[in-house]
Amino acid sequence: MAKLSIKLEQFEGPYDLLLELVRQEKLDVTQISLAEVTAAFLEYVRAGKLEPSLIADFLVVASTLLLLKIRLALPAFTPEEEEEAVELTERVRMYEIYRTQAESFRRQWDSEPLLPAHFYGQTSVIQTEKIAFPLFTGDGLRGFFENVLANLPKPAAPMAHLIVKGRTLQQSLQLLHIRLHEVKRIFFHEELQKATPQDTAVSFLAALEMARQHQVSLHQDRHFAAITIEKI
Amino acid sequence: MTLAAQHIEAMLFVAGEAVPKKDLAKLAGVAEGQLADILTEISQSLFGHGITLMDTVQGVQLVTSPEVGAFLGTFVAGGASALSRAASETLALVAYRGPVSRYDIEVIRGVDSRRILSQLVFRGLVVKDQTPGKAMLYDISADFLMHMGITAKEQLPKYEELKNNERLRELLSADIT
Repeated sequence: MAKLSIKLEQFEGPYDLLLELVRQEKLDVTQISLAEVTAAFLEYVRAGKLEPSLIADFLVVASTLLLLKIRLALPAFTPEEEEEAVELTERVRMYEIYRTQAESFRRQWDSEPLLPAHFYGQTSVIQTEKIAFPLFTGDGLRGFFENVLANLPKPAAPMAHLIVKGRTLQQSLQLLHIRLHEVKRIFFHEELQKATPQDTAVSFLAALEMARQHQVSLHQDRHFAAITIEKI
Repeated sequence: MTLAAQHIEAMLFVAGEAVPKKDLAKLAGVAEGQLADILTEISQSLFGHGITLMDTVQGVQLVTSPEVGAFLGTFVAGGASALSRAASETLALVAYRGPVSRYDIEVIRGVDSRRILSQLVFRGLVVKDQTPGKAMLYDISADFLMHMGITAKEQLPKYEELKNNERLRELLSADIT
């Protein structure tokens, strides 16, 4: 029986949940494996974490699952909706194929993009701090209009934004792992040679994460003193 | 390069975005039938360059070539956001099945996809195609291809296999009755 450890996750739909349950059991999508996860599926629906707009879709699948289970338990019983039960298996398999592609889309997304002209020249919307309060008298309106004119944003000069991507948390974790493999204790600041402020922040997060997972212990004698990272 | 090809290449450079073929032919003063040859000429002359010609339903556009994609990927793309699961699922269906109706998308996903489709249209990753008297069809946009780093959807992995899936076709047509 599938544990309900997945209870808190939001699913994209009934097929998504079915697939996840079947995978948790390390099974392929077959009529039998779907029937096996029926109880877990119903449990999830009953737990009531569904978005209201999705409930109907989940219930349709729940009823088909029950049919499937009955049919497998009582082979002599052939309800009219038999076709539906067979189709559900096909549908979940089909969904699995496209979901796998979707996962590869997310990995490929923006990793090696093609860009149009002026792409890095797009400037963000200009925001002005000053707020004008209109007064609806003749003078007030004139004042308001003058205020607007005075605060008109200057046209943005075209400029290129080429910002080098910083380290990811994953990369920082890896770097720390490698270093701690070499030496048991390191100083945090020594790992930051030539690091940008962003890299520093990410590395610090990585150190905290490792401490949380009890892989390292962190020490600092006083505020702003050097931080040591020691492998546990 | 012929003069006509130079004119069109220059216009595409200045436009900086997709130009519908009809407009391109009209502005350059060439017949629409002739345009295909001219575009092939430009395409070939750009072979091995840092930019390439992209030809989609929305029109023709000069973009950076896939060969420099990995290099450009090391820079932050301005304001681009990651794909949610719902978005990537729907995009996968539109990309492999497009032009595709909302109904077909929902048959495979098993959930109402109205909202996610309109979001994707709003983000410019999906384009709508409405023929009077027919269901609205959805297809992927030039922008989508650019984010994926490809110049045509046929370059997606397993494209032919997933486009012409026999079993899926049966499933979809079975449901209409």
